[in-house]
Amino acid sequence: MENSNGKKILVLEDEAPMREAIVDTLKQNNFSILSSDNGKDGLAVALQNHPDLILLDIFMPKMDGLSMLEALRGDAWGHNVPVIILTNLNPEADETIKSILDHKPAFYLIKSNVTLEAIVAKVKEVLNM
Amino acid sequence: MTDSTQDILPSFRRVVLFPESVLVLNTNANITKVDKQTLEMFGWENEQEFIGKSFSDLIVDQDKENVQNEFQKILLNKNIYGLQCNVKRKDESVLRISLNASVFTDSQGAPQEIVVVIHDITPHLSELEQVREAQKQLSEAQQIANFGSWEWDMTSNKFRWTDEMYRLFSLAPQSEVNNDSLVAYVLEEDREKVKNFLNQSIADGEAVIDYRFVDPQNGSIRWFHSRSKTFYDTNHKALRMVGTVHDVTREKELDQVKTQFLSMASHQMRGPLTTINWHAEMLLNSQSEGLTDTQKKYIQELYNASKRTVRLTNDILTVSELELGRMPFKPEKLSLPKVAKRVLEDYERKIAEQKINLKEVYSENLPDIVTDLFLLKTIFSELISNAISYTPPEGTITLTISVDPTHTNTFLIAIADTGYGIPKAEHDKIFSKMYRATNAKVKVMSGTGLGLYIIKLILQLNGGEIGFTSEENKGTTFNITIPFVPKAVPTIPLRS
Repeated sequence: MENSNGKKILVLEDEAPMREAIVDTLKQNNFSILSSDNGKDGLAVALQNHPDLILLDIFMPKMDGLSMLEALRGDAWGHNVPVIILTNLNPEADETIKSILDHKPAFYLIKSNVTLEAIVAKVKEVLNM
Repeated sequence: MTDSTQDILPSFRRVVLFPESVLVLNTNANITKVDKQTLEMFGWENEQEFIGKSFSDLIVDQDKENVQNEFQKILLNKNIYGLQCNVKRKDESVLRISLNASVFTDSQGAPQEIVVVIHDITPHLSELEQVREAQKQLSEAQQIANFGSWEWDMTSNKFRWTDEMYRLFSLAPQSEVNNDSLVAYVLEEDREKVKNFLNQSIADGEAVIDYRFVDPQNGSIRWFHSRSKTFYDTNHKALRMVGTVHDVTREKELDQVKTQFLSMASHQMRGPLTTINWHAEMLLNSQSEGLTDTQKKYIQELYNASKRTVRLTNDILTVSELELGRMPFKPEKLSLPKVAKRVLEDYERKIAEQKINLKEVYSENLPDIVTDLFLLKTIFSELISNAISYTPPEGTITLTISVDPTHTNTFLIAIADTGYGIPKAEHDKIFSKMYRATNAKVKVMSGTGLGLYIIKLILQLNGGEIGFTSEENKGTTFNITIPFVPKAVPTIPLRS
């Protein structure tokens, strides 16, 4: 890709409008993008393509974000790939989310509270860009 | 009629408390002697009409059998006490009487005569029945409403409970109750609270409490709402306390369901709001080429409204989780000024836009606080956001953090603004959920009325308190006291 910054991001989000907004924004920031609307396909894509970072939703069909993350952390490559969880659940109040946060390195953003600009900034920060 | 009976009648009248009339029967229960009161009571003119009649002729048909049975037993038992029956007067009108009777024997112990003392209770009957009926209605109403009431005579230390009280507390009706009965099956965590409730009622004259009761029969937990009132003598010595106990378990459950629904709905609302926010953001950024300035302004309005709705949703979520007791409390050592500065960073742009003069006054060598980071940030965030919202441009906001001189091991956080102030008439309402001061509503559209309520709920977890001083159009200062280390952290829903 001509303008690629060389970093490959996997976006896992089941709701199309949100997924498209993230994908378009990251593309404008010259990232290469892979995406899927469910955890099961997303896991397969991840293990095959080894993205530099994964943006992960929690509530998704076929396989939810937590199960996907657990499977990912069981893989030799997947063990250390950075994951940014993007969800609308409160980490403070949800046991599931708290257990997800044990799967480091993982970062956590609440979708309704962040701008796309802030997501890009976080991605760049995690990737030391 | 023997002389002995003749002698006895007057003295008998003295012994029995206010007898209405006395008559004497032989051992076959035939009347041998009546007094003047008996004649009057039964409406007869002279005793000759009376003498020789069988006593049972006086009794109405329905009661005859019962009275005859009792009189047959009297020869064995010697006495009848308080036998009630209806009797006929000469004019066929009916009296309700209560009678006592005693057998007199000769020196060999053989029955000679029966002396009957009759008390006309007809006038009292309707009153008694009214009282009984009222008691029955009260008891039924209390049962339907799950509402018990009690009375504590503090001088004799005697308790009186209504039937429903015994039912609520799963005790056998009319069993002995004392000071401890109200507290006996209260959930361990709430026991101290109930004791304080009684003490407060003695001190202040009244008290209100919600607490949990563990049913001794099945271990289920029920919520009781109690109110009490104390009465004093002229020296203000407490004489009597009355109270009510209302089973509010269902209300509490409904409240929980409502809060859970709110929590769920708020989570669900975040999805579409995110979509609106992100697309508005995209439109306003690079993709907005070709949009006119007016169109961009419209989009900005949409974006602002959506962000405001996100804030409201977040506040509702925070309240729900605090009220449901689901808000985790993970205490850690934190520097108050550092946390305050981090929160202030989020408001830098707003402070600059409104040209607000921000002063930060932090005492030196402040110890760390032990508390939950998210909740502490929420306190600062709500305080600062309020101060900015309700202070006009070029006003001053002063945030002070120090050690409270009046309490040991406690911080004092004060935030003073030169804003609109709170109208005096509304001072006692501003910590209520969703309450917004009338002047605030006019000046600032976007408030949720939840900020101060959230702070109050969080401070309950920490064992802190919030108060304020305010003057309209001059400004407001909120003062928060918060202990260095939180008191025992409750793991239960807070709304009690």
